[in-house]
Amino acid sequence: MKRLSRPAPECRTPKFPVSQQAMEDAEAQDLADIRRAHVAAMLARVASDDRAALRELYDRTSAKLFGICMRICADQQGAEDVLQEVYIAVWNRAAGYDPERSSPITWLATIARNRAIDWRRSRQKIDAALPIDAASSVADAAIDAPDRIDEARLAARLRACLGTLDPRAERAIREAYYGGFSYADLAKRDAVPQGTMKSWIRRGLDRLRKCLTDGG
Amino acid sequence: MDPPQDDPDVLAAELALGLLEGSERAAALRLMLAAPAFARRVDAWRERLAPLDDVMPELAPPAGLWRLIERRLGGDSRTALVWWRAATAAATALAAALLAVIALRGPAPLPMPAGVPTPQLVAQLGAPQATALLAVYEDQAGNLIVRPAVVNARDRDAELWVIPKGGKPVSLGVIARDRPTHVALGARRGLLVRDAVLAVSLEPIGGSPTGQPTGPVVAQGTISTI
Repeated sequence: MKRLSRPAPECRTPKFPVSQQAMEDAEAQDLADIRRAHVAAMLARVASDDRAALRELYDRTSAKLFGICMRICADQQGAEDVLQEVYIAVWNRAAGYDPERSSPITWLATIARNRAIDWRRSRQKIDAALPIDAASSVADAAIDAPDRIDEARLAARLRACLGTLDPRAERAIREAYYGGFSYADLAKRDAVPQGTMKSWIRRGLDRLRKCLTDGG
Repeated sequence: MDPPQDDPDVLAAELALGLLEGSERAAALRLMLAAPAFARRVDAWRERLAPLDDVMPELAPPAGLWRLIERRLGGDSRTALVWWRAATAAATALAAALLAVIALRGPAPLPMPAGVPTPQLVAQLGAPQATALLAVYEDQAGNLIVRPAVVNARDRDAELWVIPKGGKPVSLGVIARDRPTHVALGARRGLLVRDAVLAVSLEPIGGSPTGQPTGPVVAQGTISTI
């Protein structure tokens, strides 16, 4: 599955490389586009009530989505229930997918995230035994580099930008993403007033946006 | 320095990250209704943050899970909508997603005051394409305001239904394609409660001829308290 034998270099600046690397990247980009188009095509078939296409989509994407559900639900049965809901929602709403607005994988992942967050909040499992610190450290280690070079570049850029934030903000943003935590949850976790947490994160998001969009 | 309180891009990030709860979340969702540009900001943040998922390990679900999904799609009588699905004709090129936010106290201003969240009822239909169709309940006026449905099929109309738990669908009318639709709820307000289902079906122009849904359901969701 993994196509990179080495992790993405830690401190490489996300500049476009040249020559051989550029050609390899271009090929990888083509591959990524093909994969993306493939998932989009599966979604289009699902939209026309093609049950076999849903099965293909499930085979291709369920491990990623189940990973998201497990991180946020922190409960095996809950994550399984949520995953069912996710694919039923996909079945019912595939016609609503707009490729102009998001990549198909992001669209699917957003459904999974939102469903899992709803599940968790409906159960008020704020202090669930989610190994959030473990999750953060996995992300920090980032040894499991993505198997797509364009994704690796985007991920490297995001990581680089996250690294420029106040560490408290960086940690909170990662935790919010991975664990589906709200401001209230995070403030409680860190035993700080919610306003303080909000201020850290809002500043961090502002900085992150500038870094990602301006390159600085 | 903190970004301005009303910085829409920061708000979009907060929504995309799932940081907001209760009335703040509802207010941000309302903003998606009012401002497509804001909805695009939320989409952009989702794409920006997506690489975070790529470094996380995947996790195969249990082997039997697909069967459960298939069974539920195949005719589980637990949902009131199965017969709609069964009535689904050939696929219609249609994109409709509905996000209904029913605020018990009407729209709240942005930013929300800190403190006890206002009780809200929420039904999310068709997320994350939440801007395609969205309903907001205005308590003062007793109206449900529904943003236009994105219906590509020219020979069909989108019709909104509320389905009481264990009951039959009650029509809330056809949703316009090009402008917000105001649904005067009147006595039907009482149907918009927790665990009721909001749904959108495709119907002949002008709405269902039978008073019950006849076409495919393209969006549905259960109303819940947030």
